[in-house]
Amino acid sequence: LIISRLKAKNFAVYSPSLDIQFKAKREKHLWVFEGLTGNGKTTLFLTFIWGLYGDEGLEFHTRLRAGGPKKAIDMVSRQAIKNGDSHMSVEIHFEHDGRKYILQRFVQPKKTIIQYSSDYVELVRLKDELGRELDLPNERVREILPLEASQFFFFAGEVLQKYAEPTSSDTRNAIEKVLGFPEIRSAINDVRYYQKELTASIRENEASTSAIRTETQGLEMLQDDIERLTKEIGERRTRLAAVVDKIPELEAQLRGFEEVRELQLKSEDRQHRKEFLEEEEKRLRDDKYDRIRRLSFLIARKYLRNSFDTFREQSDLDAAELGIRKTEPLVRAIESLQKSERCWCGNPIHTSERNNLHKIQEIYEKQLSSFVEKSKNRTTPSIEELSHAMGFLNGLDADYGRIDRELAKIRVEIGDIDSEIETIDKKIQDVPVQKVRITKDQLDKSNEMKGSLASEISERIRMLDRDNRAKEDTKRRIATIQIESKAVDAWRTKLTGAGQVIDALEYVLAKLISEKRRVIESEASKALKAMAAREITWDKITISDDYTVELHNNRGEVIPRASLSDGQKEILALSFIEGLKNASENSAPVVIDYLLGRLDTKYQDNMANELPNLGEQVIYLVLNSELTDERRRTLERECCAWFTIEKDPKTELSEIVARV
Amino acid sequence: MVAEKLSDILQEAEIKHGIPTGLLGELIKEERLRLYQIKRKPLKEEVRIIFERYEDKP
Repeated sequence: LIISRLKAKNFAVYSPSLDIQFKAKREKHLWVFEGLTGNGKTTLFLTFIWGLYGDEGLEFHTRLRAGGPKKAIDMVSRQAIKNGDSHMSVEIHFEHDGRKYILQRFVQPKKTIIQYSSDYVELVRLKDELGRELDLPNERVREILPLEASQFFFFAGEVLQKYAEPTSSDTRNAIEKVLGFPEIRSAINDVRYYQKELTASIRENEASTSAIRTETQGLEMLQDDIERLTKEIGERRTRLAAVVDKIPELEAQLRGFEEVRELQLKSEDRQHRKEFLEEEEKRLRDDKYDRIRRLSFLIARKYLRNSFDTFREQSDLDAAELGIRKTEPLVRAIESLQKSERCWCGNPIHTSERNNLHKIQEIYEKQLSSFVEKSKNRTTPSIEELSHAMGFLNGLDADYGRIDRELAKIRVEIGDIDSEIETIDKKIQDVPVQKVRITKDQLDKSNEMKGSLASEISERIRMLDRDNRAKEDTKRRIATIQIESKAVDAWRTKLTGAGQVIDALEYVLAKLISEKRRVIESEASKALKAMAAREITWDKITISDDYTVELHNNRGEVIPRASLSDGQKEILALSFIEGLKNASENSAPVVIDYLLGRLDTKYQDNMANELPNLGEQVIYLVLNSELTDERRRTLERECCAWFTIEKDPKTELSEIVARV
Repeated sequence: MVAEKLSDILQEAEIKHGIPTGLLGELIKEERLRLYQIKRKPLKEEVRIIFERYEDKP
């Protein structure tokens, strides 16, 4: 990764914008940015970091630095916010593996007033040289230079010492990432997993041999079962056919015997008829007897009543004639009195007496006329009544005749029925009752057996179907297992291949670790000698298994870490980083923030000479006071461009000015 | 320089273990893409595919 351009907008003191081109010149690859304390060197350093890794990178690179961890919100230019612009962006143009890319990172405010990181949204875009936007921009940047590995390329003097101390697990992981070991370890693990899968498949297949045996035994058992069931079905079908043949014969026999039943029914019917007729006969006889018994009474009563009526009417008539005889003289006497108008004593009749006589006359006349009327209506027993009585007798006679005829008819029918019943009984007596019962039993049993056999046959057919399906399934399983058995040879070959790949990868890893350690030690020792030429007793640097750096003297002894000054430790750390970068799979610019001034004076000149050789692109952020005239000349000779970082004391904003 | 070293080592491995350099290189490259989450699915299936691709090769 080589950076060709850095652009920024509203990044802390670099507001409104920053634009630096990194143009290489004649094999030179050092860029120097000189500035006073507080002018913006560390801010420029963080511009690279945030541009490449965003908030996560910013935090990672500032957590051990003065001021503590920072986030994008801390970097947005206060001046810009004051001016109402809260947008911040960094754009890095870089080249990697011969291809050009542009990485753009922005923060956009979500609110008018910004207080928290969550008030911003961070966006990132990675475009290739054709302007196509690539997916997973953050991941792709990390693949080029992992964030953890970036600490060996982007560093400040103040955090260097830790690399001269025993390594922490984080640092060890970062070193391994730089050296490209994790991917080989993962590959080994994955191939091992593949090997396990193959082993499991082969084991399953081996198990399948016994599975075939078991399945074959199962198949044989099923076959035996199928044969048994088929035989049983055949036997039962034969028996069923025999039973089915026999049933119509028995039914025919029973139908013959059924006539007896009909006769029995007929006999019963006749018997019932006979009983009915006998009842009817009795009723008629009773009726006749009743009529006979009541006859004299009916006749006598009728004549008695007639005689009584006649007698009474005769009495009434006699009384009427008597009344006439008595009343008539009275009426005549009254009429005479009225005519004479004198009483029998000779006295004249007065008006009141006349009126009384008149009333008495009216009463007697009325009585007389009544008696006369009764006398006129005198009756005698009529011929009609006699004829009525005769009619009644004739009716009775007719009834007797009818009843006698009906009785005779009934007797005849009863006689017929008796003879009929006698005939039927005789016929019934001729039928073999025992045989009917036996035949009936036989038919019942045959029907029962027919049902039972049909049920047994259908049950066995069901079992046969089930066994046949199971047989087909078993055959399929056996076929599958046999096919898998054929694959086992291929799996064994693959397993051998996987084992060889693991061996090869382990060989590659071991060899790579050994080779990279050799390179680190060799290059670190070389850098050490260049940077600390004055330490004539220092011989070489070695790396332990956990990547802890050891410094050896020319007698082959390890120089105790405690005996080293801070400056010496920083030289040791720088040497290790130099070795590590040489052994690294990654290629990236080396960006150093304030280094020389931290070293012991005796190393500063050598370090100044060594700076241009620290990488393919070295960006050095230097404090004015770090530079003596000689160091300045040394660096000027080696640099592509020299920039000064100038700050406006009024606005507190900085700008970068190209000096050389 | 180091990349060259890696390819040298892979070639050594091929000579020593008979595994093609391409197969080993491809496995390591695939793992790297997953390590940096550019490819996110597990490599297990990929390993099988890579193996099968190299199966027919001498």
